[in-house]
Amino acid sequence: MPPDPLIRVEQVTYRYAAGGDAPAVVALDGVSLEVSRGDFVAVVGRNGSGKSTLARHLNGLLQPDQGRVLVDGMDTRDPARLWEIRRLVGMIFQNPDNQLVATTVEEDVAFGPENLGVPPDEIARRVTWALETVGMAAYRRHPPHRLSGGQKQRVAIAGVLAMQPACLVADEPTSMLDPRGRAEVLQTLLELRRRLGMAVVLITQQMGEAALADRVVVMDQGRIVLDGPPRSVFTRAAQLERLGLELPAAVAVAERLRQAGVPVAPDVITVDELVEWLCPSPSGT
Amino acid sequence: MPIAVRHLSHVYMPGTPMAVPSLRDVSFEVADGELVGIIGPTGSGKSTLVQHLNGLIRPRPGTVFVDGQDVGDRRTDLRQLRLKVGLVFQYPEHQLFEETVYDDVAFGPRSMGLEPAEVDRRVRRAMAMMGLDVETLGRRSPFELSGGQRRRVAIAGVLALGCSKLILDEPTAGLDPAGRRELLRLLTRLNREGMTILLVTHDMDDLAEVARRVLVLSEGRLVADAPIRELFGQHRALLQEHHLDVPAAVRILYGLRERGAEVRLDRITVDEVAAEVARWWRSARGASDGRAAVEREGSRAHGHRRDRPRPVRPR
Repeated sequence: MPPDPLIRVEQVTYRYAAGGDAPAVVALDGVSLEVSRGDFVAVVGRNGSGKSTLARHLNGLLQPDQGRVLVDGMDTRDPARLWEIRRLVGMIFQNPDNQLVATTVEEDVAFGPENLGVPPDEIARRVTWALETVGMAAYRRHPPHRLSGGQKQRVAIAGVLAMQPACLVADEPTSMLDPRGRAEVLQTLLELRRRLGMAVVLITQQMGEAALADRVVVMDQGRIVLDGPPRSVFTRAAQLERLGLELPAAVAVAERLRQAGVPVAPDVITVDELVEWLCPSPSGT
Repeated sequence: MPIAVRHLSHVYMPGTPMAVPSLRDVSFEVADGELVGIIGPTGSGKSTLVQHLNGLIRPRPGTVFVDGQDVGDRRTDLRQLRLKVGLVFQYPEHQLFEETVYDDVAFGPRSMGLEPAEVDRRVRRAMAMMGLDVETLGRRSPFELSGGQRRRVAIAGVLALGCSKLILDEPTAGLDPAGRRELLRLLTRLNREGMTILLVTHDMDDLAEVARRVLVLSEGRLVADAPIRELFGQHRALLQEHHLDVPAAVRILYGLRERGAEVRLDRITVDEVAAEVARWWRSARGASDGRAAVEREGSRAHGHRRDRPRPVRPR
C-alpha cells in the first residue's frame, strides 16, 4: 500500500459572505486533492476560480465548511494541531513587501523558529542552512527593505525553510516581480523539490510557470476541472481557452501551426521542444 | 513636442550616505498619440521617471516639457499638469473607496468643483472608455466586481479627470488572461482615439500586443529607445544583458535561427510567429520536395523526423 499523502483534501466546500443581501459565494465546491511528499503541483485558474482559497486551506488559514483537510493525518479543524500543521506546511504570498518583519535578513529568518522555542544554537544553524539553500547567505546582515523583490521572496522562503516544513505553498509569488526576480524564485522552488524532496504547491496565473511542475491542477468556479501532468493538461488547448486560461506560448504557436497544416507532435509544450521538433539538431535524439 | 525629457537625472535621498542616482542623463520625446512601452528591471528608474512626467517630482537637473510647459518652472501650475497627464499606479483598485462605482469615478471631477451635469458627462465617458456600462454597474459596489472590472473602474477614475496622456504602471499585473486581454484591448482603442499612452511593464507579451515603440531603462540609464520589432528582432543580446528577454513566442524564432533556419526575427505575437514558422516550413518543404510526406504524416508525427525540413546551415 502506498504511504498516505502528505496533504489530503476531501470533498471540501467553503463559502464566504458576499456582503449586503447577496447570497454567499461558493469559493470551493466539493474539492478533493492529494499532495504527496516531493510533489511539485501547480494550481492555475482565472481570478475567482478558488485557487487562493484552496491554498489557504492547505495549512489551516481557512477551514472547510464541509469536508476536511488532513495534513500528515492531522485535521486542520483541530485547534490543538494547528501549530504543527502550519510548521509542516509553510506559505509565502504575492507581495514581497508585506512578508518581512525584522530589521535584518537573519532575524527575519529566525523569527519562526524563535516562536517555536527552538534553542539558539539550533536556530543559528537553521538560519545559515536556510539562507544558503535560497542563495541569500551573503545578505544575512542586510536590512530586508533594501533587497530586490526576488531576493525578498527568497528570504521569505528561507523563513519557511527554517521551520523545517514538508511542504511550501506559494500563492502567486512571482506576480509582482520583474523577469529576473521571477526566474530566481522559480529556480529556488525547483531546488527545494530537487534537493530537499519538499512538496511545493505553486499557485500561478503564468502557464509557462505551471509547465515546470510535475502536475497541473486547473480550477474553475470552485472546482478542479483538470488534474494531470503538464503534457496532458496543456494539450487540451480548446478546453483551457474556454476556461479563460492563456496557453503557454509554445503550445499556442504549435496549435496554430497544426491549423496551418504543420503536423506538430501533440506532446510539444516548451519552446525548446518545439524548436527541436521543427528543426532537429544533428546530435539530437 | 508633447512630452520632451532632456538630460534628466535624479538622485534618491541626495546629500545622505544612502544617496543613489536613480536616473542618469535620460533624454527622449513622445509625440501625441503614441503608445510607448517602458521596460527595465526593478530599481531601473521607471517609476522615478514617470513621476517626473506629471510633476510629482521636480526635474533637477534636466528638463521635462509637457505640451510646451516646463515642469521644473516654479510658475507652472502642477495641478493643471496632473489633470493633463493621468498617472495610474500599480494595483490602483486598492484605492477604491466609495460605495458605488459611479461615485468612485465621479470623485475626481467633483473635487475639481465641476457642475453636476459635467461630472455626469465625464463619468459616463470615462466608464465607456473602460468598457464599463453605467446603467448596469454604476450603482454597484466596486467590491462586488471582478478584479479586472475593479481595475478598470480605478483607471476610469483617472480618465474622468480629462487627461490627454495616460501613464500606467504595470496595469495588467495580477489580472487573469481574460482580464488582461480586455484591458489591453481597451487601451489600444483609447490610443487609437488619440490618447497618448505610456505603459510601464515587466510583461513582454503585453508590449508585443500593444506597443509600437519601447524605452529600456537599466540602472537609471536609457539603454534603448527603438521600435518594438527592431528591439525584439535585433537586440535580444542587449535585453539579456539587462536581465530581460524577448517574449517566449519570439524565442522560438531565435531557436530556429540558431539552427540555421531562414526565419525572420521581427515577428512578435503568437499569431505572427506561427505564420512565419508555417511559411518557413512550407518553403523548406518545397525545397526538399516533402509534400507527399506531409500528407502521409498526418497528425501523429512521432518517428517521422526524417520528413521534416533539413536545417539550412547559415552561410
